Amino acid sequence: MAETPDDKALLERFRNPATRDAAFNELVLAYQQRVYWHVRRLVISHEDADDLVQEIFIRIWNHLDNFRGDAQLFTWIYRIATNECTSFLKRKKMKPTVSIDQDEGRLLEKLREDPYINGNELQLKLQEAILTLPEKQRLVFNMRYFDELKYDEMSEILETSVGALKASYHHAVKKLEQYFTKG
Amino acid sequence: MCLRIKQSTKMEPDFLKKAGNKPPFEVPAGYFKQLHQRITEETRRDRNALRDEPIPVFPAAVSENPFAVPEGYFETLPGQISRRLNKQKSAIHDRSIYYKTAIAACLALLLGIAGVIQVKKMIQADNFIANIANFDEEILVEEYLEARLSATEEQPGEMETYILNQVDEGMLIQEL
Repeated sequence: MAETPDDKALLERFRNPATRDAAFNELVLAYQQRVYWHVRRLVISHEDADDLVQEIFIRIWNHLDNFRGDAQLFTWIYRIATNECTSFLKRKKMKPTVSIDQDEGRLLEKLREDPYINGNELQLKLQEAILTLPEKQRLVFNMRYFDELKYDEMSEILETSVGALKASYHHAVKKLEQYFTKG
Repeated sequence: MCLRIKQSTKMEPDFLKKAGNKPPFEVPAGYFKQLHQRITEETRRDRNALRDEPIPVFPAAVSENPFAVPEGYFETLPGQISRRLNKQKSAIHDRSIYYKTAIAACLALLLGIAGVIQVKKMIQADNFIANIANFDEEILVEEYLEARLSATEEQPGEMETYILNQVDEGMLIQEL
């Protein structure tokens, strides 16, 4: 993973038309992997993740001028990424032919069929278990367990209280344990 | 050092020599292979316990990503993003040109329509005057007489003299 650049300096360079493109390129290099893996864990398929990551960075380009610097740049980027993924998943669910069960099945199918998956059986089983969680719990679990984000960072990104996030994570872990112990 | 080893070998009792220095203990098959994984798992559990969180039961190795990306994907991604951005920029540029042209065309059309309406109005007014149906003879006669009278005011009796000269006297008397 690339190092997080000095956000303030990067933003200043982005606001200067002469260095705008270079600064944005640096931002992409710094955050592309974090954004990609966050998106990939939510949408499962590489193709969807690839498309979404590009859209997310274009959105970042369009709105970076409005970033006031109240939050950390990476939490702001994460929020955009999360919102894009949530809308994408909602769009897929809204398709009249797709029911909630079908939607879960669709993601499971992608998990089994995507050519870019090389984990062992246990890792795949965990991913299957995660797909059985409600969307919010899935999001919270991924951010906490895989991305190792702090609760206050998650709270800023998801605009949810720390208490509610802890409860979500707790429920998610209990459900996953049940999935694993039942086999 | 060598001397000390030699001395200790010399001092070793016979039963020790017979027993050998191999311990009688055994470990389950594959134990050391799993040990590192178990220690990692335990330390993670401890970290989670410190965080006051539920401890996931799945092994530490699971936290690794089962997903993969095509080779060199992250090297090509910035280029792909930049290409899409350029497309977006040129689309915005094209759109702004299109809007400017459309606005200019609308203005020209409005001006044209206003011009046509104005010309039509003028033609209508001209036609009204030129239309024979709207021709008022009385006004014309009045105008003529006014002009004529004002011109003849200086020579009173001219009209009478003209009438007396031109019209037959008998007929005039009859008319009067």
